[in-house]
Amino acid sequence: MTDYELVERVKNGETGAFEELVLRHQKAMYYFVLRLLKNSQEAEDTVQKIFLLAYQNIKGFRADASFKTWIYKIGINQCHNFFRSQKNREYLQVEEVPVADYKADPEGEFSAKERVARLQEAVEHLPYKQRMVVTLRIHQELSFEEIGKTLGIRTNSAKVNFHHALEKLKTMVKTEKP
Amino acid sequence: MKKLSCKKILVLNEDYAQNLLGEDQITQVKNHWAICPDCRQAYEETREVLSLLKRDHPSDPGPVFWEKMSARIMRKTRQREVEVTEAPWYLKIFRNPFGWPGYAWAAALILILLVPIVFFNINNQEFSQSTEQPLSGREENKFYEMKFEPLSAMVDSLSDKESARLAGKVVARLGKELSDPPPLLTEEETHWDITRSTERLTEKELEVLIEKMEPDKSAEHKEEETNAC
Repeated sequence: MTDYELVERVKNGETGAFEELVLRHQKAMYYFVLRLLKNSQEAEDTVQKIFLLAYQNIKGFRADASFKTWIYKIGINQCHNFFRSQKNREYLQVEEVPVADYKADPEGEFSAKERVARLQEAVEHLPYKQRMVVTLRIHQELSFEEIGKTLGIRTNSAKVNFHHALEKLKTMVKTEKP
Repeated sequence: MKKLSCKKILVLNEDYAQNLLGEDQITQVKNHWAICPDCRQAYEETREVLSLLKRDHPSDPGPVFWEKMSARIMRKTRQREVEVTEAPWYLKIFRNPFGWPGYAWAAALILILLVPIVFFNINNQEFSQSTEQPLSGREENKFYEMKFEPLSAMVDSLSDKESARLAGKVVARLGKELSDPPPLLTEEETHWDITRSTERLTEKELEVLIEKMEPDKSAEHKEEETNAC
């Protein structure tokens, strides 16, 4: 059964169909939100809010968009709300990313892990659109068309942003190499 | 087959690394790599960056975590559903009154604010129009009583000239029928509003007036007036 059919069922009052939608999309949403918020507890709460909002507003969901891009849109808005509230409270608890163990890891493994960590740090310093495009494309595996719909930009613009982001990251990787 | 420029290949490299190219384009890219080691090198770099990015994936918390999460979401959803369906009528109206959309509420709010303002303005206009209308008999007397001093005192305080003019008007007025509401004053009479209530003069007051009405003086006054003209 497609997402669209499930959405239609939910609109007709079948809560079970919504459970199916949750099971399909919760993993992707959780990883996406966790990547943005960097706090597992906050990510859990936010994912719950996202699905609750989706359920409340599902009657306003139109068939011209896919459920996946729609829920990503809600997710991005919720993350923005979270950042806004954290900014007001001047509190942001970022979980420590597990750092590679110098002694335990063989040399090659350590250098790869370190490079991944550094690259991820570089991604964090990319401009907002480029960062979002990279996250949605690489980690969420959305197509450029879906990314465009999620971020409210054209497909081509999403592609161009991805290209610029990759160029920057390539330059960083080149300079990092011994 | 058309040869592609290095610039174009650099863009296609990214698509190739993400398996987004068709067979024709793959062949074109591979043919280009055969003659251009720089583009091949650029592809290797792109592939490396992409693979490094993909390696950064958070660890899976396990099936129990996902089960708990979906259960938590569904519990909240059902709870919300019950809250909405079983909410008392006033809460339902507060949450989504009559199922009206936002713009309908905006229009209703504007109407609620505008209607009293419009009615207030209309009432004000009606009131001002009603105050501009000429007063009827009793109302008029009341109005003058309020506005002016007692008439007898006024008559006493008049100068000879004034009393002569007033007397002329009194006589003229007394000669008419006074039962109807008095007509509006002419322009000449505007500063002699007092004459409109002369029908209320007592006999004594009239006598005072008549005493003051000296024909000689009034004649002199007329002459003065004609000279001034």
